[in-house]
Amino acid sequence: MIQLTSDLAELEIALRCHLEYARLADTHTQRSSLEDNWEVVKGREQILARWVAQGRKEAAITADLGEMLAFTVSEGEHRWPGHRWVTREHGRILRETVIEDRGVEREAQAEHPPLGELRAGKGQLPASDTAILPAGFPEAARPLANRLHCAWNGRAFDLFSADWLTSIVTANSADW
Amino acid sequence: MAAIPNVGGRDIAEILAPQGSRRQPMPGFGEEYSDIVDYILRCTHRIWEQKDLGLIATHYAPDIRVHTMTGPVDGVGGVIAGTARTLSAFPDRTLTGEVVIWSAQSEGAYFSSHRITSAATNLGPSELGPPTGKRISFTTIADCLCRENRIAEEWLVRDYSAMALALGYRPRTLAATQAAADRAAGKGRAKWRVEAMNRVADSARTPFPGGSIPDPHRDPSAFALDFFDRVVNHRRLAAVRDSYCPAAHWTGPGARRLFGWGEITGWFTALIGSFGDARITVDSTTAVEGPGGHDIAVRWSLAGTHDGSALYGAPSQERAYILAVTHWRVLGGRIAEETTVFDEVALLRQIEGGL
Repeated sequence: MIQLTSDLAELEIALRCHLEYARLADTHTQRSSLEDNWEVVKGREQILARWVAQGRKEAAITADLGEMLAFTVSEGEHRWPGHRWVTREHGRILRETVIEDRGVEREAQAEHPPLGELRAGKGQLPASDTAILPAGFPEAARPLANRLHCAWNGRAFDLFSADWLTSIVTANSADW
Repeated sequence: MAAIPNVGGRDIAEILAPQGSRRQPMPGFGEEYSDIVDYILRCTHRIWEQKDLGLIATHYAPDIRVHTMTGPVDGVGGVIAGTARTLSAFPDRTLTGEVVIWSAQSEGAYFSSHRITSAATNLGPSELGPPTGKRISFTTIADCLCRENRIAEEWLVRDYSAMALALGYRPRTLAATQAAADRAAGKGRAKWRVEAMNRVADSARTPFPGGSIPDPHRDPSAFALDFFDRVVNHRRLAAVRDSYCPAAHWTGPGARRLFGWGEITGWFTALIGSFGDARITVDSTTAVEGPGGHDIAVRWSLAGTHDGSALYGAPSQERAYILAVTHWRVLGGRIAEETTVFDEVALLRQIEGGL
């Protein structure tokens, strides 16, 4: 377990382990949204209801990058990893993205057929060496994005070497 | 003139605290309202959350027309009755204002486009069916023309198909039942809908759009007009890549969520693949500056023949009409987020031969 250094890490433990749900009134805006693998929950009240429904769990922070956490959650014999990213507005959490691999099946509230393609307008052209990234994308993260683009969109799976994975984790956790 | 604070950056307690003296000229508006954003947010809270339905009489014009995809509602009495019905079905409804996109009009009037995400428990019978006890969330956008403390005209769009799905109903089944009732009552195609479809179908044709798309920050209205004309009327779907951020998030009817150029292009492809002769008119645009960019509201109408099965089942050859509002968050010259709302249950009801 690592030392809790960020507000977000401390909040994660407070909510998961100590049921300190009243803190949400100060940590989130009333129009906060939470997106996970399946849905977007909009509104602080809805996020609160979701926490209440989850109940007490054991949790430990495994990486704390300030606005992004990696953690593990335990319930009895069951243990799963997760990540949480947040975007703030005047210090309060406006958006959260949570990825948890609980290993249990869930059903989406509404399902629609997929629309469109992933490589818009590329047709038969091969993936280029550089990813198409939104304005404002951090310069320091571009090499990593390009590498992932080549590996996934270009199917250059050989790029996923153990050395490379180790190097990006150590390099980027130091840079960011 | 003082800056008009919007929803962003303020918690609800701060938004609903007394705002002090007027920040902008508002002739005839109640003294309790300091600006148009305050008026919209505060009167929504008072009427819907504090249940002061009587205030509708002082906040809506007696002869108001509320435009919806199931037809216009005329008169303040209809607004009060409709509000009471919705609150009976969802008594604990809370309405979280996500943004108020507004502009000043002539003679102290204002136009506002207010996006609300509601959370509510279905405890009473609703227009969708008997009570389910389910807690749901849905998005509404209300475009309002406000003059002298009253909403003089409103265009109301709600994501009814998302509501239906969350309550456990099939939108198609609901629509078929409603359409059967329309036909049993001997109602042909409603006059208002025929007029609305004809207005869109007969709208002036524009030259083939060449050149670049206008800058959304410099001229949001020109951007919106050009985008919808180019993409829908001229089928130049490649303009999606010129107009959206590659990592754009899109939310649409039925609580659909799309991401990036390919899926957003897929939406427009499917829309035109459902209504092969579709034409669109942009009926209103408004924009406000926000942190790092602009929020743009676009109200649009689409008319076309349901001759393809891309989105709404086997072709019925029915002419259909869509009234929609789109909210864009534009950053760095591109659309980064979109919320589009229209009533798909009403659309399916048309396709099933109703309305």
